[in-house]
Amino acid sequence: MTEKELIQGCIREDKACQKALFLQYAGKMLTVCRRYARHKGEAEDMLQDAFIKVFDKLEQFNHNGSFEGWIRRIVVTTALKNIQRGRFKNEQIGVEHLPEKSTEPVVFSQLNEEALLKIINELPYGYRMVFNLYAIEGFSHKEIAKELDIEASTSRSQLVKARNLLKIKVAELQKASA
Amino acid sequence: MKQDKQHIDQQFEILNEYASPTSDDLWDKLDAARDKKDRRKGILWWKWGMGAFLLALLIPAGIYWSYYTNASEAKLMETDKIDKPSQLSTIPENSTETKSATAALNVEGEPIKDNIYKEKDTNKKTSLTRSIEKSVLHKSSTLATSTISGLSKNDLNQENKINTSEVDIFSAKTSIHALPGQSVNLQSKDAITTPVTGVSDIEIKETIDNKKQKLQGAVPNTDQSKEKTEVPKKLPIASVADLPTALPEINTELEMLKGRGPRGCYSFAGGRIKYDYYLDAFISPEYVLRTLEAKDLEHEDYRKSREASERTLYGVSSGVRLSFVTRRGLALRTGLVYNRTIEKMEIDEDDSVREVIVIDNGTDTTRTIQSGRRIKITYNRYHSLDIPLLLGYEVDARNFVFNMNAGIYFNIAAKQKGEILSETNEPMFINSNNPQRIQAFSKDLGMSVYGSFGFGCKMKNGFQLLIEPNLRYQLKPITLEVYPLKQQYIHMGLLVGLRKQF
Repeated sequence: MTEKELIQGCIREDKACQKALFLQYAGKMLTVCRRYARHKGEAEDMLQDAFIKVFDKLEQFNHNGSFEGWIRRIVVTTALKNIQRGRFKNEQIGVEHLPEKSTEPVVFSQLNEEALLKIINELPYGYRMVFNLYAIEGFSHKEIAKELDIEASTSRSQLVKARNLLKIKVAELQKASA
Repeated sequence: MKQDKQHIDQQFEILNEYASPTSDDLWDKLDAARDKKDRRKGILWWKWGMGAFLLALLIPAGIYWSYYTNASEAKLMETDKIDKPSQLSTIPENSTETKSATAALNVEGEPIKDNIYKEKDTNKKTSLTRSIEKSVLHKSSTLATSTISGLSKNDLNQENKINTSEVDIFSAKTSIHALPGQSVNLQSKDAITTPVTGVSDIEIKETIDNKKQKLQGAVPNTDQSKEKTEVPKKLPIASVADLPTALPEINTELEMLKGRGPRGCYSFAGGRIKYDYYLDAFISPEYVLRTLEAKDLEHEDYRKSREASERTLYGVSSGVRLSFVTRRGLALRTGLVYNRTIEKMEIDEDDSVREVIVIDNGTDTTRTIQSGRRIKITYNRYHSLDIPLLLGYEVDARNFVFNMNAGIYFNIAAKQKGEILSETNEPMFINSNNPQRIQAFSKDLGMSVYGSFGFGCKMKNGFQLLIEPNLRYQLKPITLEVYPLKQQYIHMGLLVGLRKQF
């Protein structure tokens, strides 16, 4: 079944097509959610909310761009909205006291995806959001500022701090594994 | 430094292609959540639809009610405020008009009509009499304008001719105040310079003034008339009681105009409400929508198994309704309504086993074990008895009476009979009188919201054929709190019945 047929099936409310589409993208999209969520349970809730929207809005997909990209955008937006409901913002307190100095380059090749996800999850809220959106999703600082309702300059500074913190955490992880 | 940054970012970009392992029940949870959302959407749609429907019924009724209440109150206020000493003139007791007036007043209402009948042709009489009967306000206006006296019979004739050419209520009002007898008698016997003098309607006032001017020219003793106008304008309260006992209706109306209703009658905006009474007997076949909702995700499978095994077939309501309808078309209805909803439960068991025992010759028995597919069909019946309390509005249009109603059905009893699947997918009785039944359904169904719009086709002998499409939404589930599912109904019916006016 082609992607287009799958989408048409989902629009017709064909459960089999909907399940197939979900299973095709659930893993990747769960990874996206896990980068924003604090734990897997929360990530699964985000994924559920996101796919409800995906099925609701499927008729609006115009087949011009990448379908995966379209779904990813919905997932990211849903994740951000869920977070911005104010449930986890308290984590941001105190982040300004984290070290800002540059650290030595580190070797990431030894770390697998699960380890990288764990490191991202350990970042404070603001750092995690900005790093995810900028480094992985490819948002500009202007877009991040708009999405998170912050200044673009704040986004830049948070990104620098996030990178520095990631380097420290990677170094610690490698030291521990050695 | 820049390379370092890019290096970090690139390392994390591999996450874009990484698919996290998903738990097996993720799809089931999503599917259940979507179903729940769809059902909520459906329920929400009905709630909003029902709300809009009720508003559509109640708002016009409220506006109508408010308009007429305010209009009546405004008329009374104007009556109190207007001070017209020039209209308070009376004519001498020994005048010819006085004599005829005394005759008219002895029996108040009916002779007034008789007087009018003498002045008009048959058609005009009929329309005027209807107008008189319809509004108590007209009667108050009769009193208010009754002090204008001295109109000659010719004047009266002329005025009646003018007035009866109109068809609105003011024509009736003007006609009545033109009656000579009533006014003269009141003034002459009790020297009442009634506080309710004056008519709010400017048109009528002008007509009266014109007549008075004519009259003043015709009556020789103008000084006497002038003196009479200087009599105190306010009627002392005690003087109401002093009115002749032969005039009970005037007493009543004076009391009403002074702000208190007649004893034993409901007073509304300065008048008595007159009702028509109707008795409806009806039957209403219904299309029934059922919603079944799991209270938590754990029972979603149970909900699905019940949904798969049951189907709502139809509903039917029947009952009697007593309607009190005011002359303004506002209606209050109550009665007793019985409803029955029929559902079909069908269970298809592929691996069913049964034992067949055949008795041969009265002594020998043969036992056979049979296995195969078993289809079990049960028709479930949900009975309820309700007391409706409805507010309606009716519009009379020749051979039809259009009506709209909205209100509440109060459940007084409920009973169920049949079988449904239990949580273990075993069919279990729901019979209300069976102690082994599944504890699922409540005997108190609470309230339902009812709305309808229809018409009655007038027939002979005060009968009407009623056709009334209706909608009834049960506000709370018929299931018990302890039962894991919520079962709720929306009834869409077509009421057909007979109405008899009493």
